[in-house]
Amino acid sequence: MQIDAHMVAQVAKLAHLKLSSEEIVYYQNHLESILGYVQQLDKMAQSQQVATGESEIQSEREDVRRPSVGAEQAVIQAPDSSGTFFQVPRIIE
Amino acid sequence: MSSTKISSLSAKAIVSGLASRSFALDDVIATFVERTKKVCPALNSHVFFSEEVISKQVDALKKTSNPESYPLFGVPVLVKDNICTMDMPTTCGSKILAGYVPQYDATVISRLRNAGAVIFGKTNQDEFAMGSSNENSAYGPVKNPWDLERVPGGSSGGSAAAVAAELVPVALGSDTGGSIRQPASFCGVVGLKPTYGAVSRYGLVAYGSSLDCIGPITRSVEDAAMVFDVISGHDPKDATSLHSGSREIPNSEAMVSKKRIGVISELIGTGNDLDTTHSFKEAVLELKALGAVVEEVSLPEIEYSIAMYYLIATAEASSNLARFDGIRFGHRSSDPTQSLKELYLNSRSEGFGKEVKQRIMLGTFALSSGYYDAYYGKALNAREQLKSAVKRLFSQYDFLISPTSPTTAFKIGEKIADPLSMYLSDIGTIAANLAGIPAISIPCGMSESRLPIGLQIMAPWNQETSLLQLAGIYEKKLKWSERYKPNV
Amino acid sequence: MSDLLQQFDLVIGLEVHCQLDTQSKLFCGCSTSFGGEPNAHTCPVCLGLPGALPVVNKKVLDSAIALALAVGADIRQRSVFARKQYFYPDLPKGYQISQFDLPFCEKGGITLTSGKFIELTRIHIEEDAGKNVHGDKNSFVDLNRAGIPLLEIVSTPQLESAEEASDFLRRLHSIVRFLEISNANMEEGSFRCDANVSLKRKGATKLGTRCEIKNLNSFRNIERAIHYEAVRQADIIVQGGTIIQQTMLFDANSGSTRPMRSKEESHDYRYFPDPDLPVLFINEERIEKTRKSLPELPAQLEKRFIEQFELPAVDAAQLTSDRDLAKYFESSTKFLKKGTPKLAANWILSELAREVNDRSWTYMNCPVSAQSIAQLVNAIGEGTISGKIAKTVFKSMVETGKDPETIIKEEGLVQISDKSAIRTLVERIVNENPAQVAEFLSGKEKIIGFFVGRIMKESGGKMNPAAVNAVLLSTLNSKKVGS
Repeated sequence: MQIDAHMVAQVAKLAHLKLSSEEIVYYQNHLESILGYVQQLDKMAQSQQVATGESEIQSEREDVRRPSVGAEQAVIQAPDSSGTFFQVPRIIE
Repeated sequence: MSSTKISSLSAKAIVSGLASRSFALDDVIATFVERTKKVCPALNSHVFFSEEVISKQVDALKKTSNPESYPLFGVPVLVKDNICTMDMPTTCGSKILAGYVPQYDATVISRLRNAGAVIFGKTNQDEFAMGSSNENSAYGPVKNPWDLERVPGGSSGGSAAAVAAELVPVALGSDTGGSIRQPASFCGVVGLKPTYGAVSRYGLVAYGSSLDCIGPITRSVEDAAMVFDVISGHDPKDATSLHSGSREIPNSEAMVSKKRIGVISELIGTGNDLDTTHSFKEAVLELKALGAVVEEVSLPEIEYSIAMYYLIATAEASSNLARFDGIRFGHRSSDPTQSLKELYLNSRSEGFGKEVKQRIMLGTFALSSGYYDAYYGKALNAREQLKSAVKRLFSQYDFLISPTSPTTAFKIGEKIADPLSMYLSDIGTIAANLAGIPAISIPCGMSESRLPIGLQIMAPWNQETSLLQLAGIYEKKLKWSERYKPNV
Repeated sequence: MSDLLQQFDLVIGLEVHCQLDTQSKLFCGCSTSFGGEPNAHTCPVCLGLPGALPVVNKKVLDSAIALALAVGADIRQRSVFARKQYFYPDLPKGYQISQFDLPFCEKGGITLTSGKFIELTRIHIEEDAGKNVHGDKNSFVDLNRAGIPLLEIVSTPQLESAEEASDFLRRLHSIVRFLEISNANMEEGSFRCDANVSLKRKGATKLGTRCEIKNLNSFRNIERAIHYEAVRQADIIVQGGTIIQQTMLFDANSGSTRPMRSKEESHDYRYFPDPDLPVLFINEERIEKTRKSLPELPAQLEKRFIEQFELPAVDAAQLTSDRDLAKYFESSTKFLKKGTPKLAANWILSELAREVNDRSWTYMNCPVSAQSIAQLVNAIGEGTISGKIAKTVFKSMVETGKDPETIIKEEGLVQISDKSAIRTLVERIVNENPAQVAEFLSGKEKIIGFFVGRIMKESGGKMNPAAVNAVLLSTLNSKKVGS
């Protein structure tokens, strides 16, 4: 399928990736080539199969409180924090 | 015992040697520490290695009053750097997690620690497990111990190279499309991809969530079975974790005779190099000699497995990697004037390598509005068909085999320019991930240029026991690792 | 203004996000308690740290089943958790785990007071996001709320007025509180409503463009917002303009809606089934188990109150509008002897309700117990005290917390019904006031009030008014000529 620069830019926007103009060209080609390759899946007949999973056993948790890491620990790896908040540039709404 | 001898020992032998006091814990640790310091630089197998962190663990172990009750007591184990360890950084081979130290241990790590293992460091890998050569790491490529100009395979290249070079007897890797088995094949070691869900993924940094498996890389099937036993089993923290318990391995030669083994015909064609074709034929003869019925069988859906994989894995990855935004942890772009939007764009674009970005782009596209049905949806559907086909084959055969990889280890830089050709070399291994079945790679031969060749055996869902049994018997017969060792 | 709207049919659909009352979050064991230091209630799972995985909270599933049963919805045997993907600082994983294609249940509905049945489209389970707080140069992210369990309840657009919308919400609100699956506190944000509003020409089939009004936090505001929005849209259409589809916010101060500054153009959420969570499998057995443990729901309870306690519909409706109030009333009926349920209802809905409101009490922990109210009503029924004296007793009950029997005894409020005592006093008062007697005899029957007043004063209000009246009338009438 045909991929144009606009589509690449759209995808990059969704993925929150910043692409240079060379990269946009690169991705146009790359995506076209891979998508061309995967097109062969059309040859497989469409079946109505529903993924059932190998077992119907549920994995659920009891509604019990477990100790948390603690507010300081939660932000300890944050590149920027203020008290125990994560800090980011002002969100414009 | 001399240190050369100790470094060649299996995990099982180390445990029993320590128990019988043939050598002391300090000897074991010193041997592997020295060997690592000596050999690791040539291989670039490690991202993190600290004698201090090792000593802390050893000191704690020494206080144990009953080491016999620890199945892996004193065994040095390396861990692929996408598995969370509380006392060591976990970078996933990426800049975006440089220096990131998790607040928790992955479940497999807790289990290893509780079994008395010593976590010996973190190994180099393709970034976020995306790659088949370990050339996609932000920390440089890993070298194959059999030929330092060649790749060790990927994405668990560091783990496989380290085990092959006897820097440890055991390493953990992860396998999403072959990332344990293919490097095991390239490095002449044993690599087990368990049944999906047999080993907890809690603490494994996710790539393709419905495909990812953690598994052991070792120099013997017995060791792989021991480690699998320790790390497998239901984990309430992983909702996809199986409820069935771990297994025993009896070892009886009678087990092989009359077993029906299918050779996947699509995987023994002209795409394989001559050495691989030859070694694989020998392996088939060997299995027949052991009493198995071995015949060719077709799995036509396998032709489409790469297409399925590259839509499903990348779609899941594009979603799993959205959390890397520079806000709560990891790399944040340093421009103080940047807006929030720029923070996201810059941090992610600076932090992720090329292959990762490529797969995020592909995956995002496959899920996007208007394209979901044609790409991701179609791939899911195709996967179900493949699963059914594999299940049907297992109603006629006990095992399915193939060469692990079409070729032996290629040269560093040889395939990196053409991603598609790199992707296509995964043809042998991907089906097991898509079907969720267990698969193992064990060495079965050597090429003319002295590069290892791997045999892949696949078993039905949740049948690790039979798989490990057959692999163990074949291994004992072949005695490959007694004949070959890398010069490093 | 109402002329303007006469030309149109109003089409309203509601989306309610109801926070479930559980101990721990939807996918991890972190505490759901309100408040707390920012990020105190977090763990690798709800922080979205690498390698962490979600595991669903059993109680959330049980609560969802309960609500589905209460509204008569079709529960899917298999439903799927899906990832809704977008980037925002309060969304740590970069996606929200919700449900898309295969939601928990579909259809079912709620009957309005008017008897009209409003069908639901679906109910699904999802996790809440964290909170952002804004400063001048920076924003601050608190993930305590990230991962809180929510049920999203979506109605079909069958509501045709703001009043219907408000009624629908009140009933839904009441149901979730009766089921005890949610506190549904609108001010605190545990019961949030978005309204989709559009107009179409009266009788037309084609729907108009709709606008979504977000995060309405009281029943009153919902009505106000819908009214305003309807007029806003009507104005535009009548002047030949077109309605732009947009998201609106309601400004409670001005009573108006205004467009939200759009975050971005419409999102591509790239929904896909979450591979970390197996298909959600709900079997008949589990549904039956929950069905057996369901409490009585408002609609049933209302009906029962009317039948069992012979209450008028209005009273029954009021009493069942709140779970705790209903419990309180029913509890009081257990202690009734001579007092009637109707009388108890009167006292509870007027005098007690006033005190509860003024003093910010709750029916659950009311200082005036249900038993006390019953005692009070019994005392009236037995004739021990009059209705008027009962008010005094009640005041004392409120202020001292003592029960009526004690108060009546201590303050000597037992009503005097002894006919001879009454006769003695009546005759005295009558004899002491010949002028008024003359007025009565001349035809001014209303002067009887004067005597009643005197008698009540002299007796400290303790004489049975009915008896007083009877004796007084017979005494006065006996003075008529020729009797």
